[in-house]
Amino acid sequence: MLEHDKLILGEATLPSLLRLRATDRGDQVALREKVQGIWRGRTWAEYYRDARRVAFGLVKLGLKQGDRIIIAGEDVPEWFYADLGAQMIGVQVVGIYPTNPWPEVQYIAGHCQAKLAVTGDQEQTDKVLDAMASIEGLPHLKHIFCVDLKGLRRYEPGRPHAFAHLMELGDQYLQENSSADHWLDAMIDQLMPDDVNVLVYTSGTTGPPKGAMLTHRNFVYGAYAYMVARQMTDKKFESVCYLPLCHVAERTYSTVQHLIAGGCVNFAESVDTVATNIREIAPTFFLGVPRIWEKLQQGFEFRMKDSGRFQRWLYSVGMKRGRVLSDRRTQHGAHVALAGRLEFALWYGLLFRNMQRHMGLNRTHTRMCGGASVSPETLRFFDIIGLPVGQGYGLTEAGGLCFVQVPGRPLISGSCGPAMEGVEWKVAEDGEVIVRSPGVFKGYLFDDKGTRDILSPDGWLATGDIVEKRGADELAVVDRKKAIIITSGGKNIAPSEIENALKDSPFIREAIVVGEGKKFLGGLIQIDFDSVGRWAGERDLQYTTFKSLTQMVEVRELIQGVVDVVNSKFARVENIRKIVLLEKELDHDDGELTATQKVRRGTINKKFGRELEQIYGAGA
Amino acid sequence: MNAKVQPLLEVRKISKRFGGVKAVNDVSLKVNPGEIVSLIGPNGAGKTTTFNLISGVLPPSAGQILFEGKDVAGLKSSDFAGLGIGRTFQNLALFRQGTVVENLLVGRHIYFRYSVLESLLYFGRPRRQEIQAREKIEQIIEFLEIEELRDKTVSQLAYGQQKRVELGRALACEPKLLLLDEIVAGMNREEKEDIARFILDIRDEFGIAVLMIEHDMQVVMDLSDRVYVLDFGSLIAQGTPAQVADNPLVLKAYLGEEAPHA
Repeated sequence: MLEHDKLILGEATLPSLLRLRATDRGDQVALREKVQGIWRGRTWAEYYRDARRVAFGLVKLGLKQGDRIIIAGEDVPEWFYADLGAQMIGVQVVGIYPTNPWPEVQYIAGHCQAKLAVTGDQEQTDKVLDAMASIEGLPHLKHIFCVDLKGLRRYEPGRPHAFAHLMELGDQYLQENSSADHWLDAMIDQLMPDDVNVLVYTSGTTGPPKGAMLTHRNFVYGAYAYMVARQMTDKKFESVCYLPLCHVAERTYSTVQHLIAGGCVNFAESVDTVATNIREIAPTFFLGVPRIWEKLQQGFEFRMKDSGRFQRWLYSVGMKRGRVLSDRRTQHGAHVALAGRLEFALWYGLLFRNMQRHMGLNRTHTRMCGGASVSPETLRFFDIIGLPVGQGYGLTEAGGLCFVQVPGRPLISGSCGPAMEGVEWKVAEDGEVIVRSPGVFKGYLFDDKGTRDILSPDGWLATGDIVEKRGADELAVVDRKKAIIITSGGKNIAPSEIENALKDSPFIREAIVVGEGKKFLGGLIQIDFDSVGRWAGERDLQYTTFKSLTQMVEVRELIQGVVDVVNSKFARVENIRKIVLLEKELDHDDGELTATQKVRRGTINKKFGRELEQIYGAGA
Repeated sequence: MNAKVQPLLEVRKISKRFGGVKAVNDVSLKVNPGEIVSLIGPNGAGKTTTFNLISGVLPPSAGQILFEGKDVAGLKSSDFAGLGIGRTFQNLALFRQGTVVENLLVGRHIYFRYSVLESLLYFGRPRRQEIQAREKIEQIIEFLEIEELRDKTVSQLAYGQQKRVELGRALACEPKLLLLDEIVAGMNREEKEDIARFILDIRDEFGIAVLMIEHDMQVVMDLSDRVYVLDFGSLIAQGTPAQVADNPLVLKAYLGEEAPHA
């Protein structure tokens, strides 16, 4: 039933895929969760059964097609049951970042008129209750079901109920209605690929979040076209799930790819245990944000310092030769000369294989990095040891990735790779890339104007990203169209490039380039507390807090040194003339960062007026 | 509250003399099942001495200590874990070179009932008990949210994390009463909030009663069902947190002067 021709058009619905999996491999393990230190599996049949129980539970509570629910919690199997269960009866699912503060929960749950909330734990439940207790409240929200009831025993009864209770309601409904099973099967049959199943609220670096309406087709296409591009359709799928499921990436690569490929999703115990969990599971597919890749690399290098002299020598020689070989692969792709391949095999046997095994990545066939700018040296490290990490380009409104680096191709520096099968694209006069594919969304919820602004009637999506063509059919992203700075001299400058170059330094955590309408560029810089702190400690410089660290002359000189080096790589007009070190770490709770840790550009002028004054003088 | 409920812990007029100094003088207090009770007082008021008497570290000079109706005043401190009293210490009492799991397992030692010979064979009883102990430990690890620390040695951990392990060690003996000696001292605000949440959860999830010495008034006021106030070894006040906070004697003890007119 799963034919390439259908999947590449996104012709399927997620509940029907789940039903298929429960039939053709019901007794295989689908989900694995660590319970009290031991990995325990749940089969496809159980996954399907519990999703159905959720579906009946929702029906019992009066929810029907077109209604919406929110899910706020870390990644657990219950997230999957609630997600798929709701979709079975045509209820749309809205994920909320576990890090969203309550006013954002209030905005999203209120905006989409969610009738029911599934929460992960006390922290998430409290946010929903806070939102309900606020002045506007959440008039549509009637029920809360919480997965982990720890700390909630003294709460008002029913606020929240246990998640298990939702499934018990489902069991009750099934007992009361003998035809319910039959009805639900018909319901699943009746779902259409173009039905909206999921809403993803974009984090909104400008303005309030917008609810992007995505369909079964968007997800099925997005996951499958990616698998085709990465040549993994016939490979075993085993992943570690730990990034927020409300984001389109983790949803596509854990939930949907899992439904298409079969295999098993393993839930990490927490974000802090990801490295350990990877080693235990040895996944075949791994999606990491830059921080995770950096941690894996640093963890290894840290261990290396403690090993014997011979091992350290072997490591340094191996990495040096490996770099040369990695250069050749970058240039020639799959067509590396035989000598190079033989030498790699030698080092693989001596060193790289054990490194891969140590990290638990030796079984991976596909590795992905996304979510933020990553230091090229980090990706280089993994390429040297034979674990190339792919990058791509996409956006929520296009149902995830549109362009992705493909295995075996020479790597063009800065390129996101070619378009995936099924993506049409063109570059507008101002450099904005416009795409059309089965992944392109239906529009923003309750925002026709916002939808018309970026989505044309014939399905072309204006991405808002300025790009450059690379090679024959590849693409490199320059910046967000809105982020482009026009100086008073009329020069267009893409701040992200400069910011990313700054952030490649371990001492700089966040950099904001400013200068709209000004004579020159300035930089607001947040130092990395850990590494600058360590640097200061090694030099016996005394500091107590983040703020005191930023005020030290030595630290200012250190950062200025980094800025000077970066400046030398850019044209004169793109140079940062003045920097200010931020005295506090940017934070999601304080509204400076979005849930995905991106700086909210819209708030810069308001939040950093004082710093801007230091750069441009009063009255600027 | 129902008067017929037998208190979990009842201390009747205990005193402790060190030579001529009366460190604790005729102190009586009660902890009912499922209660969180605080013992507060200025430095040197005799709080820790009282704790040491209750947990059997020191023998009382006079008075009775009843745990579930039985007098336990003469027992050795090593017997107290078996009775169902767990405690944490003001200064950490952990094996610094051991891992977190190993330290927690130490807290389970009272449940191991097998000989050295049996353990060499590791079959039947020892195996069953070891597995059971590991399951309980994992439950505690999950409860205290320290999964990522499982195999770290204690000396590597931050102070706040070590405190959590100490709390876990005390929980591992499955006590009915938990004695906490200044558990939040030296913690930052976030760590304090976490521990405060755990104390409430310990009561709610496991039904364990808590008696704590605490300097942090915020924690005392937020968590306690009842509060006892000690000064110079004697009880000067008791009641709900609000009652105690309004008591002029308490203000005097803390501020060292005549309380202003209330």
